[in-house]
Amino acid sequence: MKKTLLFGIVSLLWLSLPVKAQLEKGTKYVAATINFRGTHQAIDYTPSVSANNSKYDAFNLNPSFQYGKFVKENRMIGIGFGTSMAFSKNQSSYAGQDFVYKGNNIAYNLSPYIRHYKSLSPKWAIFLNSSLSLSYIHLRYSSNDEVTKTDGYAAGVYLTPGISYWITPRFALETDLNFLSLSAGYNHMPTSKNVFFNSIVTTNLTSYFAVRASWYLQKN
Amino acid sequence: MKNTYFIIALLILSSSQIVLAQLEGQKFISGTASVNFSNTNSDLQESSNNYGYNFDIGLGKFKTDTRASGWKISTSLAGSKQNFLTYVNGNPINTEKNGINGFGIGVGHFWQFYKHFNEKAGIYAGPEINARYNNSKTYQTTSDGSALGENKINTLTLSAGLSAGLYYKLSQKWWVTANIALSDFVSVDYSHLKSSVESSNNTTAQKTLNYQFSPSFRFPVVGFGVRRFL
Repeated sequence: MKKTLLFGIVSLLWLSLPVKAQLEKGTKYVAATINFRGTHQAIDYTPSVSANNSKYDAFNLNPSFQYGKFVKENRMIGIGFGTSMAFSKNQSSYAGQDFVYKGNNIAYNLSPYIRHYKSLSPKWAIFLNSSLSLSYIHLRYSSNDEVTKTDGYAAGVYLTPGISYWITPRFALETDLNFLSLSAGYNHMPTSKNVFFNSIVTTNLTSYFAVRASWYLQKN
Repeated sequence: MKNTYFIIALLILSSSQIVLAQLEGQKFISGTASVNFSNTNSDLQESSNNYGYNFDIGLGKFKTDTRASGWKISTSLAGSKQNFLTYVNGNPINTEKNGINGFGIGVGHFWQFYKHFNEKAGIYAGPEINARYNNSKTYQTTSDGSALGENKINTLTLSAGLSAGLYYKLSQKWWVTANIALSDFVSVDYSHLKSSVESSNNTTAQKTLNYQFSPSFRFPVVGFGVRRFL
């Protein structure tokens, strides 16, 4: 009786211990997320004497992709690619003259990374992401067809923890916990250069956490 | 001895499947309320005050023991008594504005999925959709101080998101709830602002459309609510 019970309890414990086939060597990983927001505004002045109607439009689009492969159990090597795009247009007229101001800003970001996982349960895991981030920034402004172009670059090292939650064995939702991250880097623009070092450890949890859709694709 | 083991085994097994009070079919009403009032009496100026309330009321029903859905209605009202000083040809003139200057009304539908940890506490999470209308009127003196300007803003917001919370059972009838995470992954709002200056015919109309898609969440400032089962 004792033995049976002991065996039963041990087997129950085994069942509750995570068996994470998704984090084994050879598993391929694909993840993506996107966010966008837009503003369209029109201002009408009555009576329109000196200032006429003006318009303002802005659109921001931020897609990002990640691809990775597990090189051993719980360790993934991968690469991330993302862009941040911000477009704005401001039209106004004053004293019979029209003004058009446009801004097109694009940043391309490439970040190779190494990620360590620790599974907590069959559905949950935490990870630590160490990444190198390289960005190329292209800014283009035009004011009444007079164009100004600026190019710059930035590089940084980031250490960010995160959480994964598996909805199905192949599909998971993930988020990076930015309030615990460490980063250092360098920004270079023609008119400014700056070096930054950030360590963010805060209890202010009201910040935003972007959620990423991820697929863990096994060979078999 | 065998009996003791048997009882322990029974306890272990039963603890993993706690028999919860039947929730299926139960209806509940939940709410949060906030009321504010402030009054300022200054020696040099006339007294001013601010007041308002915000009520959120939800009506829901448990479809099964772990699934509930329902409707939410929220209303808010704000008012004040304010004094504005303008100068006409160098002479100060005091204008008093008194009364209701804003109200809001919203309606939403929610779906909640529960995980009961034990007989007393658990968590819930689920999607919700909301529609809200807000109206407000504000005053300020023009930059040269010669007249009083008025802004009227009408805003209509539609949003869809997720929310999650914790509950604790005080008794069979009363629960305390707390929000733990919020997300508005899709939202659209349209606002119309009209500004005018009292002593002139000049008006400005500003129409703004904002939209966003952002699969993200945030932890809010924890807000507590109560729930009463009917």
